[in-house]
Amino acid sequence: VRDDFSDYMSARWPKVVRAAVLLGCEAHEAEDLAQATFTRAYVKWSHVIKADNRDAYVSRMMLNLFRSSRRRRSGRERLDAEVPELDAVPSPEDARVDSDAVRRALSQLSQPHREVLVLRYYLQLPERDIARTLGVASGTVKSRLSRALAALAADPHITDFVDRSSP
Amino acid sequence: MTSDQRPEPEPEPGPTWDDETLVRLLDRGVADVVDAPAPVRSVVTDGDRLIRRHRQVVALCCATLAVGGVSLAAAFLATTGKDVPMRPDRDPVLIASEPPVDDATPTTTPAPGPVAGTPVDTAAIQGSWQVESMRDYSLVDGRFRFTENILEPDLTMSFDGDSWTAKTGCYFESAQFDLVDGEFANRDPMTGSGSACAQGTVETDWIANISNVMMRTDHVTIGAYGRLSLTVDQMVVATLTPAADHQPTEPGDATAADLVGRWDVTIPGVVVDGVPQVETHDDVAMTLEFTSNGQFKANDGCKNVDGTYSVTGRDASLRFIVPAVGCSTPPPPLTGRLADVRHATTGPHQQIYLHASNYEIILVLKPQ
Repeated sequence: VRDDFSDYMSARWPKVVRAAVLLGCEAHEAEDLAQATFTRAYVKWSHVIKADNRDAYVSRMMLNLFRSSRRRRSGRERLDAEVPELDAVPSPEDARVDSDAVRRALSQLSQPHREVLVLRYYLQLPERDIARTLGVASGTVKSRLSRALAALAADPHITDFVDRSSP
Repeated sequence: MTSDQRPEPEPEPGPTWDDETLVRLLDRGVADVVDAPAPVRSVVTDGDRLIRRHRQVVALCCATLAVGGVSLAAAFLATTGKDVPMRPDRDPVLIASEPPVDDATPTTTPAPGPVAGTPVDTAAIQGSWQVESMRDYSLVDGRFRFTENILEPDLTMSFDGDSWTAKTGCYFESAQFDLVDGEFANRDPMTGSGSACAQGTVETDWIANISNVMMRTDHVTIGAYGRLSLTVDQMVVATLTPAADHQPTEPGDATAADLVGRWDVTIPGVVVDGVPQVETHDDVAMTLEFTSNGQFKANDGCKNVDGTYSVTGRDASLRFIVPAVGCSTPPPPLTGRLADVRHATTGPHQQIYLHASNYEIILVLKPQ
C-alpha cells in the first residue's frame, strides 16, 4: 500500500501544488494544502484506489480542504493571492510575467468559475468528474466554463498570450 | 426536440480557443512555481498518526457506549424491579458507528419537498422570464430522471397568450399550453429551431433540457418576489425570475379595493423562505387606514400621519406621499417604510404585504 501511495504521490505532487496555486494559494500555502490533501488520501487510500478516477477523487479532497481553509480565513485575509502589478513594459518572452498575468486574470474570476477552469484545463478532469467533484450538474459545469472563458477573453493580457501561443 | 436520444455532448471550449490553448494557458500560469520533492515520508507519518488517533477515538466511543449501555440496563432493572429475559440472539451488540462521512462526497442537491407558492393561471405568467435554475434531466442507472440543478443557464422563457417559448442564443422551443389553478399541460407537440443554427453545445444542451422540463411540468406556482416555480410531482424542476425588461403581474397583487379599510401593521424583519419573520414592537399599536378616495391615515404609536396613496397599473404599484411630521421619541419605522412601498400583494389570512421596489416585504397589514 505504501509503495502504491508513494508512487502516486510522487507523480501527482507537482500537479496538486500547481493546481492549488492556480486556485489562489501562495506557493507555501499550496505545498501545505498538497500535504494535507495527500495525508487524507493516505488515510483513505483504500477508497482512493477503488475510485473510478483516482485523480478526480484526490482533486475533490484538495478542493474541499482548500474551501475549508478559505472559510477559516474569510474575514481576516484576502480570498485571492496577491499578484503583483505587471511591469510597465513586459517582455513577451518573460514566463514570470505570463504567470502573473494568468494568475491575475484567474483572480478576477468568481471562485466557482476559477475552480471549474483549473479542474478542466489544468487537472484535465473529464466534465463528468468535474460535476461530481463540484457537486453540480454537467450542465452547470458547462455554463460555468462558458462564462469563465468569456471573462478570460475580456482580459487583454490573456488574449495577447493566446494570440502569441496559437500556432 | 428531445434530448433522450442525444449523446452526452462534449464540453464547449469557448468561441475561438481550443482545449490545447487553454491547457497551455494554465500551464503558463504556474510556469514559475519551483518544484519541490514530494514529502512522502512525512505524509505517511502524518497519515499513520491520523489513523491511530481515529482508532483510539472509535475505541473510546465504543467503551463509553458499553459502559453507558450497562448503566442504562441496570437503571431500567432497578426501576422496574423485574428481570427481563434476554433472548440469546438479541444480546446487546455494539455496532460500529458509520464510517466518517467521506470528505470527497458532495451533497448539494436538495431533496424534493412541498412547494410553497400560489397556483397561477395563464394570465398571471404573461411576459418574459429568466430561467434561474432548472434540474438536469439525464440518464441515471439506465433511467432518465431529474437530477441536480443547473444554475443560471442563459435561457429566457416568454409566455404570450397560451404559448410559451424558450430561447437561448439562436435556439428556441415553443408550444401551446393550458394553465388553470396551477395545473400545467402542453396542448400540442413542441416546435423549435432543431439543430439548424450553428451555436455551441452549451446552448443545445440548455434548450434540450428546458424542453424536457416543460414537457414534464405539471404545476406552476408563484412565490416570494414573484418567482415562478415549475414542478413535476411536487419537485421543483425549474425556477424563473422576472426578466429585466418586464414586471409580470402577480396573481396575489392587491387592488385598491383590497386595501380599503383599517389595518394593524407589523414590521417584518428578515424573510425566511418567503415568510416574513415578524418583529414585535411591544406596547406599540401601529395602524393604517385606507379610504377609497386615495387618502390614508397612519399611526405609528407616536404620531398620526395623513397622506395620499395611489395604486397604478396591473402590478399594484403603490406610492405614499408622507408629510414630514416631527416626533420626539424614536418610533417604529412605519412612516419611513411607507415612503419605500412600491407594491402590494395579498397574503394568507387576509393579510396584505407591502413591498419595496425589490419585492422585499417591508410591512404586513392584518385586518382589524
